[in-house]
Amino acid sequence: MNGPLQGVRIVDFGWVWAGAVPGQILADLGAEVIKIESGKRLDFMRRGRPIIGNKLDPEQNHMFHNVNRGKLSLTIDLNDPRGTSLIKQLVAKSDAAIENFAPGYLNRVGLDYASLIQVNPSLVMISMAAAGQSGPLQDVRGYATIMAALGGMDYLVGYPGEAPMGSQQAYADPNASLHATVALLSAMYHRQQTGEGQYIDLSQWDTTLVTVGEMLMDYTMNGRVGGPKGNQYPGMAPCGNYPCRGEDTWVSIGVKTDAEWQGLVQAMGSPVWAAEPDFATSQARESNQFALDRHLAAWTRPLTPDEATELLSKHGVAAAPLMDHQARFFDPHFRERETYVEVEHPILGREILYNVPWTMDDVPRKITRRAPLLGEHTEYVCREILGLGADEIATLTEAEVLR
Amino acid sequence: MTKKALAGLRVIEFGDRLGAAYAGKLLADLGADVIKVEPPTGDPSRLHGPFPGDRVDPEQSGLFLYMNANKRSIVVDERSASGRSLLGDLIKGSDALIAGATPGQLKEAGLQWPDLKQLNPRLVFTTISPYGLTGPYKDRNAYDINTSAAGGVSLGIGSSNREPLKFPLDQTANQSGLIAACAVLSSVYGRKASGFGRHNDVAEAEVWATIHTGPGVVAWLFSGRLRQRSGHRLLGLPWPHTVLPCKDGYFAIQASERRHWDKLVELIGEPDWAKDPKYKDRVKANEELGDELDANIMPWLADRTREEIFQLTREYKIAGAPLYTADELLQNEHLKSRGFWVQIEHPKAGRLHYPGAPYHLSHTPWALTTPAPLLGEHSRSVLVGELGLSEGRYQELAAEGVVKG
Repeated sequence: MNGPLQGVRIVDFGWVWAGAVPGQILADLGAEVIKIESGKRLDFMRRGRPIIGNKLDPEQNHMFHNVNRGKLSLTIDLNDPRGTSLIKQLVAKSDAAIENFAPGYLNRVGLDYASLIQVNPSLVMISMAAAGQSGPLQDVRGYATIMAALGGMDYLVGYPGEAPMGSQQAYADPNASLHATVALLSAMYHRQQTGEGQYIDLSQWDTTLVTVGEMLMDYTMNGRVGGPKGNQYPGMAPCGNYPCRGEDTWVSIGVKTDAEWQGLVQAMGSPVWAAEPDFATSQARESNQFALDRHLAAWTRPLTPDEATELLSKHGVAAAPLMDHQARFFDPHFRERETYVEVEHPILGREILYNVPWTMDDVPRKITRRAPLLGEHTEYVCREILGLGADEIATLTEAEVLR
Repeated sequence: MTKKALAGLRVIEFGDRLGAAYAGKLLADLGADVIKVEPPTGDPSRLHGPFPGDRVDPEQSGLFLYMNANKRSIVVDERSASGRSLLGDLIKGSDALIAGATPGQLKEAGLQWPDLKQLNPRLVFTTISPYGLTGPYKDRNAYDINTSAAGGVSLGIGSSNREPLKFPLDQTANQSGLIAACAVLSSVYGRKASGFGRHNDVAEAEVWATIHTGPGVVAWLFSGRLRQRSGHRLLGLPWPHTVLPCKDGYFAIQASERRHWDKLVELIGEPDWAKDPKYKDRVKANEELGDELDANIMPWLADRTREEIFQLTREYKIAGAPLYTADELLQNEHLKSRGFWVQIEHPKAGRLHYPGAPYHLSHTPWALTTPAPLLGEHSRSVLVGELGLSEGRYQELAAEGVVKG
């Protein structure tokens, strides 16, 4: 069985990380996703240090290969009217477009939504700028760390009572991508039902804010601003990562219910401290969690993360090792589910990419095709989709419109 | 009446994993008819809080109010045979079922794909469980702290010699909910051509391990490098990628790229330290001399407020941002101008501000239409009014405690 989006065609201007992932997911699901690229202004993800040799090579960034697999690549000059005219012809034959340029760019080259619906009135188009298409901070730059800072997440990251340190991870990028995919699929569903297309103005900042709703509600209800949370989560104690035998190895343990607490106590061999009134109820455990953490750390320290996890799981306690990239790659569970999958690439050889993010009972879990080489499908798109002749393609290539 | 993108799509939301609630919210906010099936004791997030004045009230939990606006609530006890039969009738007439539950809980509730598929071949059944319904860990218990650990995010957050941290609040719920919503929407889209629904198996740990940390695996295979956590700095990139204190709070600066670095040096006035040969390789300097480098710009930052620095970084086209706090976000002019904050009256919690639309759809706008439902508020209207249960039977079931409200 083919993916659910078989027959859908997407014009994908999305770039870097946040902008690339929506098209990647749609391609994973069977859509024909055409990535619009430029040899003059390379996708940031195509840059970076080469793996083989020491010459810069746009084909050697495995990050790019992860987030652009499944797509076709069309290289075209958006600053040349012949280029934009071809894009319009392509849009006329497509269902949706994705872009994350700085606000105003597509307008300057005549490819904004208002221009594109002239050629495709039922187009669905999503823009995913850092702070959206309107408002005084439109010029904010869309880096993930910036979104996490503006979005109220970063000041919650850190050890309780200490300075905030920010998450230092690109949480906001994939988070914005997934919100964009939800919005785009919803608009496509509406179009399928009614024939009506539309424009979606997504703000990456707003997509970060909606993930800290619980904290924002505490402010609107109680005026509490909060601060770094460590690993604390209301209603849970213990809730943390505990040191194990060996360097920088840890096991995560979370307890919410009394039954889970009893399981933990049994797994530890019912130590005397666990019977103290300080730990008798979930409320008591939450108020005394620093003392609880010290006791628990003393118990986990001689164990490996796997030993602790096995033992605790047997007693119904939520536990898992902290896994790095290597551990996840070799992990039997991720192996069995084929979370990571080998893909052949003409330059880098065999690569391990992350698979489709979930499994479907009737569609094999696999990557439909490797990431495209720069401009690999320019000729295919021009000939097969736009119906250009060999002469026209040669002329446009010569004129560097197709580069 | 405003058009809604997902008008006419009926979704049943079941189970206590918070990811199902976020998936349901994403769909409900764009107009799907999301019916939340709660146990007689109510969804556990009703007891989570935050509560106004810290007084526990299952109708005033901030997390529940936020996650469940625009939905309907019915109470059906799936532990009883008559409850399971009601659930079956409901599923028969629905487009999608999102179940946030462990494989064990799904089995107990009788929610097994081979049966559901027979009941309603067009059903899109999407499960959210800690590790998925297959694989050696499928029966392990897990919370956000555990799926974040197994998914590889936690080892990257926090100080190098201290306990690794997860993201704040419950980000596993948000990320697994997003993936589940993508699964539901793509399946209902594809159903038009195929005529059939499907089972989507979303595994929380795997959502982290793919979309978030997945690219790290091939990076490790090629470079042998594993990501290190390093507190307020991000290593592996040229300095600065750091969070530092300033006059009135904290500020994040990301000027790793050459052009941004040049601009930063210009902004600060090209001090001698920028020309120091020991900082020439800024990737190496970030790893070995991070504190020293931070200290170089801290006096400049300490003299200025976050807004002053933010203004300057934007003028100089450097990526930088204040670490905003909740109070500032409520007052923020940009967010106000985009109408981000929305208000709605709830019968118990009153009128409150809620975080609003993450995206604006031009023809079918995101909208907060109804507040989070009271427990079982729609039991009667759904079961009697729409499912066709007789009033007598409803009352019998209510007396047995199978339905409520």
